[in-house]
Amino acid sequence: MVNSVLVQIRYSAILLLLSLGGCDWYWSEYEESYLYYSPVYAEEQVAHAISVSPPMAIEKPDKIFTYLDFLIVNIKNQGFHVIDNSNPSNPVNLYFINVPGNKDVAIKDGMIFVDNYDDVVAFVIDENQEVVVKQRLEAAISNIPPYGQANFECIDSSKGVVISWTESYVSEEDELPECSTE
Amino acid sequence: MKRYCYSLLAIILLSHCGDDSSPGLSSSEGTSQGGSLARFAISDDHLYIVNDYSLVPIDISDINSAETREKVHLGFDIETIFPYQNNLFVGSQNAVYILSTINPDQPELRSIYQHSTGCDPVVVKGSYAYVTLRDGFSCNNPGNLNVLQVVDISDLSNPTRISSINMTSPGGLGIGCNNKLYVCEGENGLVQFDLSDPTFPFDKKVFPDIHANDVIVRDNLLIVTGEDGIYQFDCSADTLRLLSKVELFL
Repeated sequence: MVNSVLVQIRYSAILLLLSLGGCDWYWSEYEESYLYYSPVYAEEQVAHAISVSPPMAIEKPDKIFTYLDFLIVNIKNQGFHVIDNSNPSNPVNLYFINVPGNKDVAIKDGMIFVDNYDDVVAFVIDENQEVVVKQRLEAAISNIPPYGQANFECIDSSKGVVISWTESYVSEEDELPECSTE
Repeated sequence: MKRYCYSLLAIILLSHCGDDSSPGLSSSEGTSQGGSLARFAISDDHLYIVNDYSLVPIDISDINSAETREKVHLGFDIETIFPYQNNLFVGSQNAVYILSTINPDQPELRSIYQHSTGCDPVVVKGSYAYVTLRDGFSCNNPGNLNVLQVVDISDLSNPTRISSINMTSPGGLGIGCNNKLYVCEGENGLVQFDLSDPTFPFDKKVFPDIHANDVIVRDNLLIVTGEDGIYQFDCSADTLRLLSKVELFL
């Protein structure tokens, strides 16, 4: 009787040890996984191209801004519509300004400030309704992954302009790329 | 007589040569204004931009030669900025940061109004700030909290919540137009409050057919970005009077 109890205890202990060992094996796929970010590049000429297009139908407006009698309707990551609102009962869609990676606009005394990915660009629309870029403040806003503490593949500007980031994983901490937001 | 007529005709024709449109975007003086969801704000001669962690001041006193000043590190998930008098109200997912721009190159943090997590645009008038908190996947709000909060900011170093009003899915806000507060509730419509008593938004009116995302108030003009159009209303009376709707291409 005592013998069988002992056998049972020993048996349970072995099972317990096995299962603990098994737990470790089972969870390793999930615990030892390290996240890092990789930059997605676009050709500079494409990423930094700011231009005027004829008036277009408005789809999915994001934010609106007012400037004198104009309405500025931002389309996230694309640019903004310019509307003549001198008569709010009859707004007139004038043109669209293409700004890749754009989210906001501010205008002062005719100078238009936009974010063009991580740069802040100042430009005017001349009398021929064309964009004339006056100034580009590079990386004024941020050019690292906006996701808290993170490691990332260091930016190689010879590859172009960083327009977004993708997530990747490694299984060993020392495999993480060296650049980090810390 | 004939020569006189021809000259008159010539004068009339020439005087219309440059007159084919209103002043262009760049041939004018003024300062733009954003709504409660903006990340850019102009205050005096500076452009302030918020990004994920910080506030970037840019000196634009020489409009042709903007200069970036030192970033002010604030916290996580910074989303919106609202300039008011000599202060900036910066909304993040868990707080409103109040900064003074008395020294415009170096905005100084005066206080932080903490709240439960959620997307939180803010508008300010007089001694009160109005903040909406909204749940939703991108708003990191686990508490299912959808409210409008009234915050007393008469002492900017000690912002204090004085009331919290349940809402459905509040987002952008607009304030003005004869003491009114407008709150966008997306699919749940546009809400109007009477703010004759700024501590007590009351007489709630809901416009369920206006699926509002963002709103701007300019004097008596209410401009609403809705899911199916950009609406403009005269908001001077108790009820909104539609002026125009720009249809969206859907």
